[in-house]
Formats: sequence, structure tokens, C-alpha cells
Amino acid sequence: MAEKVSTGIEGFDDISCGGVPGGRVTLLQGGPGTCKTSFAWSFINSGAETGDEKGLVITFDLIKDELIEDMKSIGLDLGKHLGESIFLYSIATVDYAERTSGDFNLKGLEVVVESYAKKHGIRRLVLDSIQSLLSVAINRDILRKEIARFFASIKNLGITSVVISEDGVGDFDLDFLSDCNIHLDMRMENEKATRRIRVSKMRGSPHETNEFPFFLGSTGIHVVPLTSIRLQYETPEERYSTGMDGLDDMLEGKGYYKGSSILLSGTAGTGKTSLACWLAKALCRQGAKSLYFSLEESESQLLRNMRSIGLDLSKDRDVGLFECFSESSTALAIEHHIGRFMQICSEKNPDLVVIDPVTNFVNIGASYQIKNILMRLIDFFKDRQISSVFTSLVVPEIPERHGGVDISSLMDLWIWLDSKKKGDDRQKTLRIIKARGIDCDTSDRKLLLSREGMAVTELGS
Amino acid sequence: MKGSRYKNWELVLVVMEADENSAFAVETLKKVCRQDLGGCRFRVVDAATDLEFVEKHGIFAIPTLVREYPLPQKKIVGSLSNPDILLEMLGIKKTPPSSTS
Repeated sequence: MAEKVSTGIEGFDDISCGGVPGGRVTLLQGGPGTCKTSFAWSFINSGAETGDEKGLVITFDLIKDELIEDMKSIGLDLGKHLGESIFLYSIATVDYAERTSGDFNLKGLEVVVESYAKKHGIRRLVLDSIQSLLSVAINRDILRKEIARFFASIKNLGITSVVISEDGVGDFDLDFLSDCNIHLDMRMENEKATRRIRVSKMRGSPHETNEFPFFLGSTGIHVVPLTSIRLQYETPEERYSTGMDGLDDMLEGKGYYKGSSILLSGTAGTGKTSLACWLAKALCRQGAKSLYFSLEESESQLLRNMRSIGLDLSKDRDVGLFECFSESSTALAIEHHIGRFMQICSEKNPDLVVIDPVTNFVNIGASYQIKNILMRLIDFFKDRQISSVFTSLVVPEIPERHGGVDISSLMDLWIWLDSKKKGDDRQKTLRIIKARGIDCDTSDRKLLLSREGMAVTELGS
Repeated sequence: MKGSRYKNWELVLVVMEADENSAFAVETLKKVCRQDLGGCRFRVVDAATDLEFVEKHGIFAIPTLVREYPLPQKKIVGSLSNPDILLEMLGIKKTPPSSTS
């Protein structure tokens, strides 16, 4: 079994069980705009970054300055590597008029690769792309035969290569010549462009066969490994206070378990956001870190509103214990949101994450997907022992459904918020529907919100 | 007259040893130079030994004929088995076979 070579692409190494097969040829297929070049350069760059493996990129019609700038926009700093650990072989075609007449072979490429291997010790190779070869060497039959020979020669040198092939341009049947095939794809779903990646073949190695969403951000390609759920994490014994004695009391006086998934459900105006912020603040007080992903409010709006219940998060924000990331749920596809959450969490290492409101995702994805995606996200949090709080807006007519998706089964702790008419006023109430592993008090309580803060008390008080 | 016209042309044929196509291209080019290019000379470069030239012109296929001068630079990939394409690329009108005999 070939050893895997890391691509440095977040998430891809997960779904491919370690990366692309070392010393073998990987065919990267996809239509225009599916990030083939970005994928290939990430692979080359990661070899250079780690200092382990130098790389050669054989490319067509390339303008070096443009390339450096393009790659900078996805977080790759090629400038410092070019000529040192990353080499470019440009098959210049723009400056030449070019034609084919008669038989040929690709030994020109072979000598180039051999010489770079000998002189610079390159271990990685990218060919971008097969179809560009076709555009200058029009004899398809010869080209296919020659590509097969070229593949064999680079494998002989033990070089790990990624060869780009444009979808639908020239039917070469190259799938059979390569050791690993990766398909990239872009499609429109709910009026949003979503990108997918799939490993369709990997000789002699296990890999995920599903399609996975990926997105291209300022730090490169991120594959969202949605289905690689492990359910193999440590179960922490540690408990976190909710910041309210009344609520802690309902949870054996100790609060919730670290790494729990917490669902806060309620109709509009029942205090979901306030409670979520309160839980975050309780951790900030202990010097732990909270991230708040708001799908509706801006940071300044959130901080202002919380001040009205005596909750000042601005100091916590200033010292880096509280961070708010706002993005309208409709701005991105759900996988992109989730991928972004994961990326930010990997970077920031929080103790608690709030997603407010999770029900907004219902508007942007098919409901069967959402549960799977959230399951994967919760798995990600649990693996890192990050506690997670999800607020859920309940529609009064169908209170058991969370905007059409039942996600309560994914939750360890489920708190139900309500507001009841009392005289001319309304009274906010709270009850715990379930708390896994905790002998909880499930009776109705009063939730008090005032300028002095937040408290949970007995109903009659 | 003809000789002066092609005298300063720079033609380079990139080949490899023990390669049939390369041998064929050398022979074809010899003939074309004699017949149509006023005895113009060309240089033969072995890709395996002159990597500098290979890199300079981004050669990937063997054999490849490079016309370095006059500009524009041109590359013709293959054994040159079709002299028509070669002459067309070099910008020389081929005289119909009937009139040469």
C-alpha cells in the first residue's frame, strides 16, 4: 500500500485517509472554476512549507506575477518558495505559433522532470493540464499513449504527482492510467454555488467515497468532512456553571457537562439569545473562551442588547475571551457556514461556541441535509471538547419542530423557553426537557431578565 | 537570391538519441532546407544534454522544430512527416509537384 502524502488541504486529508498516494499519479478532474489549480498549488505549497518535499509545476500560458498574486488571495505565499523549493516549468505557447506534424513522444517532459529530480531533488509534481498538451499536440492517440508512458516514468522516479484534467475536453479515458482520481464539481443549489469533491478511486487504500462540500477561502481550500463522524471522543466529567444559581440547581447544582451540545428552544422574545450570551459570559468569568456565531445580529447590536440585561461582554471581547462572528445565513451555502465555523474553531480553540439561531439554516438547505450537517458539526465540537449552544426559534403552531427539522436528538441538554400571560404582563419561563447524564429538575421555572441581570427562580416567587 | 533570403534564419531541431521520429525529422528537414529554403542550415539539439535550450523554449515533445528567427518564433511538434504543414508554418508557399518536374 502506497504511503499517503499530505496535501495540506484542510479536510481533504481526512476524507482521503491521509492525502494522495505517495510516488503515484493522482488525476484531478473538474470543469472550469472548480479550483483544480488551487488544489494543485496547495499540494505543492504544503510540501515546500513543511520543508519536506520540493515540487515542480509544469504549466502552460503562465504569467508568474499573476500566479503569485492569485495564490496569495487563497493564503499561499509562493514568492518565498519559487526557485528554492518550488520550480516552474512553463510550456510557453503564447509566444509561439505552434503546430503538429507527424509522430512525437513526450520525452521532452521526461528529461525535464528527471533533471529537476536529479538537480533539485523534487518529490512532488503538478501538470496543469493534460488538455493544454492536447491543444498543441493534436494527435490524440499518440498523446494518450505518451501520457501513459510519462506517468510510468514519473512513478519510476518515485515522484508524487497531481495531474489536472479538464472535464469534457478530450475524452482520454485517463481514469485507468492513474492510481487515484479526484473529481471537483461546482453546482447551483438554492441559488447558491456549492462546490463538491469526491475521491472516486485510490488504488490499494481506503478512502471516503461520498461527495464532500468544499469552499475556497482566504486561507485556501477547506473540505468539510461531513460524514466522517467518529463518535470516538473522550467524555469529560468536568462541569460548567450556567452563571445562574437557579439553573445550576436544576442540574444537580453543578451545571452542564463540558463538551455538551445545548439546545435553547423558544418562540420569539423568550430570551434565547440572552441565555446563550449568559452561558458564554459565565465561561468568560472563569477565563475560558467563547465564540459567538450570529446569523442575524451584528456584534455591536448584540453587545448593545446584552447591556440591557446587565451583561457587558465588551471587556471580554477586548481581552479575547469573547468573539462574535456575524454572517447572514443567506449569504452562504450551509456547508460553507459549517466549514467556516470549523475553520475558525480550529484557529481559535474556544471552550464554548454559540450558533444563533441554528433554525436559520432551514431556510438555506434541504432539511434532510441539515440534520446530517449539524451532526457532523456537533461531532467536530465534541472531538475538541467544545461545548456548543444552539438557539432554535420555535414556530408556535408546530412547537415540537425546529423550523421543520428535529435536531433535539442531537442535543445533550435541551432547555425550553416560553412566555406566559400573567395578568396584563407576560412572564418568561424556563424548563429543562432533557439533560443527558444529569438527574435534572424538569419543573417549570421563572426566568427573570432585568437591568440587574438574569436569574432563574421558583414559579411562585 | 533564395540563399540570401533564408541565410540568417535560425532553425533548431530538438531531438533525442535512438528515436525514430527524431531521425525522420532530421532527414525531412535536411530535404526541405535543401529544396525550399535555399540550403538554409539548421542546428540539432539533444534534449537530454541541452536542457537549457529545452527550458528556454518550453519543449515537451520530441522532436520539436523551433524557428528562433525570424520572429514570430514558431514550434512544430512531431516528425515533420507532413512537409505541407512544415512549409505552411515556415511561411513558404509550396510549389506544386507538377511544376518542379
